[in-house]
Amino acid sequence: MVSTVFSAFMQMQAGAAAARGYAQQATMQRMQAKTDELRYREQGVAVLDNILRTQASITARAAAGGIDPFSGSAKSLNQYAMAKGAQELYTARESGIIALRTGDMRAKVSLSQAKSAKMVALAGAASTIGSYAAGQEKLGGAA
Amino acid sequence: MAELPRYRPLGVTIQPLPGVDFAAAGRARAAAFNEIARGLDMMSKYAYEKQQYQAAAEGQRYGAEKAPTQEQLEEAKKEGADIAEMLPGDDYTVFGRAARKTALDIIIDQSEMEARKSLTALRLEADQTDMPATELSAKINGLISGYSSNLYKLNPAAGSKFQAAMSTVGNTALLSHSQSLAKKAEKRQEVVALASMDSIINEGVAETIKAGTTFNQDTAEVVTINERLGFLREKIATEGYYVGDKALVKQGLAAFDKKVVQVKTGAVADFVLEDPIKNTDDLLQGKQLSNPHIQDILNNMNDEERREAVKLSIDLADKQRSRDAQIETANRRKRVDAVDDLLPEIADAKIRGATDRLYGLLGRLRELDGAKYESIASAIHTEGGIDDAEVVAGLNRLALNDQLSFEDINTAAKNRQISSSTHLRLLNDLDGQRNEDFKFAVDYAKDALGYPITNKLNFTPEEDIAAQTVAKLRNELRLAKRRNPELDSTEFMIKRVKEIQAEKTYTTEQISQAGVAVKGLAIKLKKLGYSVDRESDWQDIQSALTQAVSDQKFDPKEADGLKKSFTILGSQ
Repeated sequence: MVSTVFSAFMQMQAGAAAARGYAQQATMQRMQAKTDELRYREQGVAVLDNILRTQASITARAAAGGIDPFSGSAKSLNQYAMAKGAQELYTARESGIIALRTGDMRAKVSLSQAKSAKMVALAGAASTIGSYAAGQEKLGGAA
Repeated sequence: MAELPRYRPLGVTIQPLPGVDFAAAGRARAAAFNEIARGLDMMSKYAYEKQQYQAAAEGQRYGAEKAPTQEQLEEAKKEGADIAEMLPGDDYTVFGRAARKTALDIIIDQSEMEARKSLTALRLEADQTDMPATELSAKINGLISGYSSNLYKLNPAAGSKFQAAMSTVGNTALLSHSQSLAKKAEKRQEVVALASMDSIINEGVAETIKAGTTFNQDTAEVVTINERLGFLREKIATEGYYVGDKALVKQGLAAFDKKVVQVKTGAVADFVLEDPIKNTDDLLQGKQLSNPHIQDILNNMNDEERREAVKLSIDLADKQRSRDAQIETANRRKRVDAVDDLLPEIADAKIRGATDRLYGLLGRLRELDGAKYESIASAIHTEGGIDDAEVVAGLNRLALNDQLSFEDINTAAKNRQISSSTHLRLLNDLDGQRNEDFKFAVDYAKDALGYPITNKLNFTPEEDIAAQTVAKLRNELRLAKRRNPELDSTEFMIKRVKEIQAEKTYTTEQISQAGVAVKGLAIKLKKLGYSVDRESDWQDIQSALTQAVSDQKFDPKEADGLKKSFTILGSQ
């Protein structure tokens, strides 16, 4: 009887340990997702820098060449740089969001695994106790 | 225009987080716990198995204790109860299963035992009553069904198994009984056949031969003895073959043939013995026999049987003659014995003067032996003569040596060589010679007084004196016995011998010499292996001497020479 109860307890402990591992894993995955998002934000800032640098260079070169930097082809080039940069900026931003969401999903999966581990352990423990009880019942005795 | 300073980024960037597998760590910890749990499960399993064994053992005990008996089952069945409920245990628990199985096993064992017992009893009954196999089969089936139906209700599988097993036993019993019945029937047939054969051999043959040649009443044909015997012989073969025993047939036919020869030759031999000489002659010469029935038998005999009949006839005739001779010899011997028995009575009657008895005895003697009667009657009727000293001395000597005979006395009486008184005395001596008690007393006197034990023609002077003394003591004893028939002869003689010895006087030298001689004799006897020595009493030495002479280890003549020494020592 004692060994059976202890065995069930150990099974629950095992489940709890596994669940804790999964929970920590989930936290870790969230942190990783946040980190990835930050990196995408950093890429966005770099893209903005690149747009500014490209437009400044176009303006400067146009002015130097005696061309109105805010009209004509210079303007078109400026707009093109803006469009391309915006496209990259939004891609970086979307990637950040995706990374964050993916991390969140992973964390949720891990939490789900933790929950499952707990459930499995609980079921195992219950099965052990139940088996013991069934076995005792199965032994029978004089009525 | 001077170029304006511009912000230069330091290049600070967010580093990717290193991957840390917390889940693996958790799994590892969980594995450790699981391992412990597995170990505990093994312990639990072991404990559970032990519990199972215990439960099974307890269940077996419970089942054995609670198993219903055959009587309980029968009782419950009569009451219409469900006997399956009487089984202890259940089909779901270890304890219950073990209890039920054990109880069922016990019931099966009991049922099997009871069924086997009943089968054995049934088999015995069948054997004793010669029960038909079909009836036995029905009874066996009923018995097995009865037991197996109970078991079937308790456990169908066990019931079927039991029925199958017991059916085998029942079949074996049935087969055995059938074989036994067959053997009995065979034996009965054999007994009938044997009885029939026996009847034919022991009665049929003799009756057929006795009946002789006959006529068939239907066909009026002659039926010879041999033809009828042939019919009987065939019947023996038929009986034997019916049993199917060739050896029996062979044995029966041999016995039949032997009996035929025996009866035929026996009839002829009986006829021959009626008149052995004439009938043997007729038989040997092949003449027509005076008895037509025997002639008929003879006509039905082959050469070998005839030879056998002649041989048997001659043998029987010889045996009859021999038997007649033996009877004659026996009768003669009886007559001689009767005469021998009569002679002492005649002597006694003569001594006592019983005339009527004497003549009666002589009459019987005449019937038995005429010659002897003539001789004895002549001697008795002859008047007494004058004692012839030499004849009387000779007769006395014979009397002393226990060699006197009736004929010796008669011869002397007929020849008138002895007087009437001597005649009577000698007859008395003869009577005493036959009397064991008297004889023993006289022997004692002879021994004590130095009468020689060997037959001698000439006695020494001392031996002559001893002979006279012994004769004197004999007469004294005879007279004393006549006065008192109850007298103890030996006691009388011992007393008288001592008195006579006491009357004698011996010189010191004679006594000393006798002592030396007896001691020397003791040494001699010791060397011969007798337990005497110089210090022994003279009586012991004398006894040892008598024994040594009897054992033929000592010369009787030498022993006679030593008698005087014992006489001298005995007188002291």
